[in-house]
Amino acid sequence: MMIIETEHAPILSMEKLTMSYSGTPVLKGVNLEVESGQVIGYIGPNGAGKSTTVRILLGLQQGYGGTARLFGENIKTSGIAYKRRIGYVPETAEVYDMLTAREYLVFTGGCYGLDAVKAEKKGQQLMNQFGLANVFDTRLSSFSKGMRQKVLIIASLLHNPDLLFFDEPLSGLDANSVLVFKEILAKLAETGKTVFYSSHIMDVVEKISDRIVLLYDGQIAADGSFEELNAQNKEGSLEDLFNQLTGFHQHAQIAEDFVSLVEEV
Amino acid sequence: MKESRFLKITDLMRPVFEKLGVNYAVMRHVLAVKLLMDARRMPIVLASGRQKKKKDSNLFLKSLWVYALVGLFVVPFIFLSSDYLFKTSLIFAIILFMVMTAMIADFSSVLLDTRDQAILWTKPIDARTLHAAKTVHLCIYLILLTGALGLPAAIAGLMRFGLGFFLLFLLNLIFIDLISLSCTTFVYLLVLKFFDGERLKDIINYVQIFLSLAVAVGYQFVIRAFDVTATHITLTPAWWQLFVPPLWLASTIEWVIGGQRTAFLSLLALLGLLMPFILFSIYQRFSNAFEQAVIKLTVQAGKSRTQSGKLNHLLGKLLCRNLEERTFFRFSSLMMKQDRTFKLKVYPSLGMALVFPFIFLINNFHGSSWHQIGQGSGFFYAYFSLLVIPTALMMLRCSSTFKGAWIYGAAPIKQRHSIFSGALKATITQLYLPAYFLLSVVFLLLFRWTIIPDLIAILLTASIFTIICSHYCLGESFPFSEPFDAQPSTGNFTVLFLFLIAGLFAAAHAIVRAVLPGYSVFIYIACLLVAHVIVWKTGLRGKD
Repeated sequence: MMIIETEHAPILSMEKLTMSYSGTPVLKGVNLEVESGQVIGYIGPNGAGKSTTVRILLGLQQGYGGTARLFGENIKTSGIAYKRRIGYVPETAEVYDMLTAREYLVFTGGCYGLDAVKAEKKGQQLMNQFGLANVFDTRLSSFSKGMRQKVLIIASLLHNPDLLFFDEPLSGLDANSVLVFKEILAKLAETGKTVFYSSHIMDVVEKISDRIVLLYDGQIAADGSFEELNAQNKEGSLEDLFNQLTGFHQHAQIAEDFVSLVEEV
Repeated sequence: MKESRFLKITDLMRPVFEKLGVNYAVMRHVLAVKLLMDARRMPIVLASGRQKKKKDSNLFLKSLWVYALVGLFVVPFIFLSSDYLFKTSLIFAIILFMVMTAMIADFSSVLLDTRDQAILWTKPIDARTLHAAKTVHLCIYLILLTGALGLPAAIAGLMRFGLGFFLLFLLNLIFIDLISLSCTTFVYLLVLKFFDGERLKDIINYVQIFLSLAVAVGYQFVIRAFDVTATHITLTPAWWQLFVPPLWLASTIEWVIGGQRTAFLSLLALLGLLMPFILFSIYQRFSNAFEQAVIKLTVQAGKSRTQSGKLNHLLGKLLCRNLEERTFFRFSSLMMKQDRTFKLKVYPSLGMALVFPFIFLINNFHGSSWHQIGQGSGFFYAYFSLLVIPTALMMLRCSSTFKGAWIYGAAPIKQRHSIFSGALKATITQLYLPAYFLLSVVFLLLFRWTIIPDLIAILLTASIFTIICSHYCLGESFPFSEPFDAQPSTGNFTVLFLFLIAGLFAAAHAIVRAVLPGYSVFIYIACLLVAHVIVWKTGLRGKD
């Protein structure tokens, strides 16, 4: 087995990260250090600040407080070169969908400095692996959600990045593809890549993550491996844990009220 | 990938870009994709089977023919018997006016495109390169546009005044592009800097109206700068002329070829030579700041103001016959109010509709008192308010969230025409009525209560006109069911044609008043009323 030397400096670090939108605080001092070769499950209820964190790290969000470092450099001052080592699958699945898969992959590859021929070849091979060989020259606008998601995943990996941000990457994928993708994540982490994985599907996060970070109300509410978190809280699944940490217990009551409202016409 | 011919030209300018600190390879890459996308239209979500298959074609390039036609109308100015200064001032003023209007209405959405952010900002592309790609993308279109507008006049000039004039003229056309691009961007940058969140999104649209007003009013300054008598047309120098770009540009031509070299003219000519470069270098300096600021538009933050929907509710009750129509009336009103791109494309025409009546009023009654104006029939200029309708209806089929249109197919809608009638009624109340009422109030103050019947006739005409326009503008497409593409909202034969029809209505009204003074207006109103009922009853029947 090949042993990969892991850098001692954290690949990603956030210190007292704060952010507010027109006076409303969204992040209230987030501290986090991540070393390479980990799959981080980044979870939290809607509006907890997950996307904001990722947006800051990708340079999409200005005007935050605190420091964010990637690969040891402060991203406020380091320029844009660090983005070359990042792959990103956005939650909104935004693509230029009047392009064909081939064109889109060549385009994203090119944005990361990849030569067109190389990007095309690699893109085609990866598409084949995902069973999309026959739609390589079809416009993305006619793709199903799952197919589009696969193209986004491929586009995020073309340039062999060291750090990956996956925001709900499984949405729309069929069960077989999910199986393949989970395996891919594990392998990517084995080769020393770091995966920052946000999702709301708790059983997947539970299975694939080396470490789980739970963001609640702009702060980190829990941080550790699933076993560690479980030991502290004596709860069954990550879902239960999630409910407990975010102080949510009334799901049965809400469901009951909801259905009774549906029945009233 | 099929490469656009434009890229070959930008390749020639590679050293220039590199000197400006742009990563040329990356910029070219982004630009190539943008041009490719412009040439393609996305398939339509619904009703795609019924539509004829459209080939890859750039809609903008097609609209160039309209601009070329306008360009032909400019040609006679070349043959005016005056000095170079006057005629070229007029020509440049017209071209600048057209370019600025296109810039504000059609290209603002390119400048303020936020869809790019999630895709491009996450890649290692620096803001300067990204902005350069945007700029070149816009410049290609602007140069084509000024080319179409200016070439007829330039060729006429070549034949009449020779090569020197021709080359200077072309150079000035490029200056016009630089001036309009940098000025528009500055205004947006200021707004982006000083406002935040939801406020910003509202303000941007008001700025557009303001810009279109400013351009239309600014155009007046060019003519006012000259003293036109029967024998002479002379420039009477005044300090404010230093702020009128067409005068700068025309002065350079006058200075070089015409031979007038007074101190004031030399100053103007110098401005004409320097200002485009100064403005553009400032533009370049702020490119980074601009791109950073545009990101602010993507942030979905803060509470959006709760709409006071009460008036809408009432209007819906008043104007719509059944629940279905009312539903689509409210839906369409909300979409029009909240879709930023829609507003970006339509609001400038709102500004025009408001300012044109006054410009014509003031021009035609040069020197007469307000009282004299009040005696006249200047209130006919209120027909200009109709301009809003075709522009708005051209855009009605588009939405930035066009994919939501599946609801039309999925919902059990009994009468499909109520989708259309609801949307059309919403267009009238949301976009036309505000402009109409504003004009009416001012005109009532000017012309007194006697014009009330005429204003009523105009309102009825607007309603009839809406149905006519919807036939040509919407066709079979559902409202808000197609993406905004490079489809220009101005410079479109359909819109020009509809403007003509609006003119016919105004003419009919004028003839009725002139031939049969007195109570004839009421007969006209009665006729309109009957036509109105018929048109609304039958006009949308085909949609079911």
